[in-house]
Amino acid sequence: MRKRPLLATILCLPLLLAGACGDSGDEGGGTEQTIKLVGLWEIKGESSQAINDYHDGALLAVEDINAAGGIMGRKVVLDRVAIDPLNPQKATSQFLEAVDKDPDMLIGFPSATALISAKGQIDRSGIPLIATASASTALRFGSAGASEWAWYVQPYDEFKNQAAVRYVLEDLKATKVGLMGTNEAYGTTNIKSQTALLQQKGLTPFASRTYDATATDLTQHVLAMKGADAVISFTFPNPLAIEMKQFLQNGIDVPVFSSSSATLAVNNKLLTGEPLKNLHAVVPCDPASSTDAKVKAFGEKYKTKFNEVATSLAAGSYDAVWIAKAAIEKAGGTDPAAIKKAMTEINVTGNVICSGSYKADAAHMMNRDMAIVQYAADGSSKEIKRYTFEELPAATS
Amino acid sequence: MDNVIALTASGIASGAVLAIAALGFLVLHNATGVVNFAHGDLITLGAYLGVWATTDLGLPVLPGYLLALLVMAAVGLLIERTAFAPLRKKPLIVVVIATLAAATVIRGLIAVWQGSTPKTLPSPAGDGALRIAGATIAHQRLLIVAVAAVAVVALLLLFGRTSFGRQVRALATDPDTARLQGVRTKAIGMAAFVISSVLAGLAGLLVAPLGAVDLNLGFGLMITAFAAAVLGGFGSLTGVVLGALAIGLIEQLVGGLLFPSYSTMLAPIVLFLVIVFRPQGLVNVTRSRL
Repeated sequence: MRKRPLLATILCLPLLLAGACGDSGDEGGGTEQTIKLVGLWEIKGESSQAINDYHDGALLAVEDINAAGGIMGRKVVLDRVAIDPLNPQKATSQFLEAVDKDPDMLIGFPSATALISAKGQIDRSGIPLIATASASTALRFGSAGASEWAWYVQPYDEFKNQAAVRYVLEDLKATKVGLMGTNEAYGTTNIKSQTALLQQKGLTPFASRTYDATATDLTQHVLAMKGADAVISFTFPNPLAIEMKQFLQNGIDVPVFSSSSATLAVNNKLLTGEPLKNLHAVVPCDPASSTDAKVKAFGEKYKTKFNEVATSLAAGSYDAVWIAKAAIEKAGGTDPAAIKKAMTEINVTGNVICSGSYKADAAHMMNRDMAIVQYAADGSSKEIKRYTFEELPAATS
Repeated sequence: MDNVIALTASGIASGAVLAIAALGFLVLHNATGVVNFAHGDLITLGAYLGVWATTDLGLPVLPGYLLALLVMAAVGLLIERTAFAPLRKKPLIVVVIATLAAATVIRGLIAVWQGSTPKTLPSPAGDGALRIAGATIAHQRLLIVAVAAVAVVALLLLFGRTSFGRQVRALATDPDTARLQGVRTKAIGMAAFVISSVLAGLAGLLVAPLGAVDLNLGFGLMITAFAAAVLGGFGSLTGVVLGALAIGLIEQLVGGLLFPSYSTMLAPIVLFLVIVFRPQGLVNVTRSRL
């Protein structure tokens, strides 16, 4: 609660009585009647990799919340600032633009690298941020790149690798596991982590291959996987589509495990028919295949409103808005310090889609669920395994 | 052995696409002296025009491809009129920077027009594959090699047997003397932009069905095609085709069999070695202009 000078209060008293000089009692940019959230993400057309999933998911949550009476009786307003995920310096200045909008809470920041580079500005802003970025090791609270004001709705990155490796070893009984990925940080970091996890089980990768994200021919990489029991390939949608087609063309019948790129490749019809039959996604949730009534309803509503299949990214963004609601209600208003404290205490289970419960651990990770989703040649999907991981301690360095 | 066959086929197909892209560079450079850095985005545009014609307009694949190439010809002419002709008397560096600006504009316009969601382009060859001695070769790669062979022969005939070809060769050898001899530099420049743009579009249409179409499709191809053009001597049509095939085979065979972790670095390494040890390229350009 901000303390007003006594004189200003006395001068304002007549207007306060008239209701025109009121202070909601909160910090932030919402008015007495509104709570302002600012989404930090691009929408289609703003860059080559922009998608609408984050914005559409959040928009749907705001509509649902407002239809149910808003937050503490106040209407939620969603504003947006485009954050360039591939240009950390630009993303940092765009973040300042978002701060200028005076939000009560921030949601988004899809790029971990950009989020790390903006850490200083996030700290200085003192505005709670529910990040939708892939929760990399460097973002684990206690690390040099992690802000005390940021929490994460995507599961810790390492859980994705652990889920993939556990599934291929325990359920598929694979002993020859091939690893593929792009030759930049996303691909190489995951391959390194998967290699370490295999080594803990006394295995070495059957083959490891990296390639350029713009590659149009992966023949040599695909042929190197001939003889593998399973392939883990955390890559981007386009090269994943090439991989799957070339596996089929080369007669290599091997299950392939990818990340949310698998969902995007299927939803954008980069992959159809036969190449889909060996594809799996390792994602926090799959609204398209869920049998849960609440999740199905979300998926149907999303499809009706945006004419697109809801992804785990859209569901994560939807959930982030509900988490913001819970935190503001727990804090009893929009005072940033109170919300920050509330973020460590809440356990959100009610209306969220992508996890049974969102509860921050000491590392600021809120989602510990990871699912293995299998695709069929007709494009349908089915969740075949779900893992729930333990809470993480804060990083020590 | 089947791996060697598959990698060889893949290398030849890669080289064939690179050859088409690199020939686009070469034709324009020899006729106008310009290295067009919008070439990568023209490759991307060609693929998107194919998507537009076959998906949005619903045309059958082959008429759709032909329409895309016609539009690419018009785009080439437009670039010549807006980014080259007004700057004809300016230093070369200004024109080269103008091509960079054109690249940015093309990419921006594609993003606004088609959005950033990756698209797929159907191929007349379908998704099938041929099995040869245990190796699998996608029909699309066979199509690429066939189309590239036809394109190379057509260009050889164009530059070897026609008045237009002789004028381009004259410009490439000695622009000032060619002008004094009455070579119509403006008309040749316009034609070169059109041919280069169509070749870029063709490369985009051939490579896109292998994967997906997105805004970055042409950039990597342009860089590798540039390496192929340098390897071939940046003046000789035969040299550029040989350079492109060499790059394709080195990436696939040497990269696939000997240096799997470094295959993406092989083209830049070859480019560096050629510049250092044989800057004139594989084919002696003074004896083999186009």
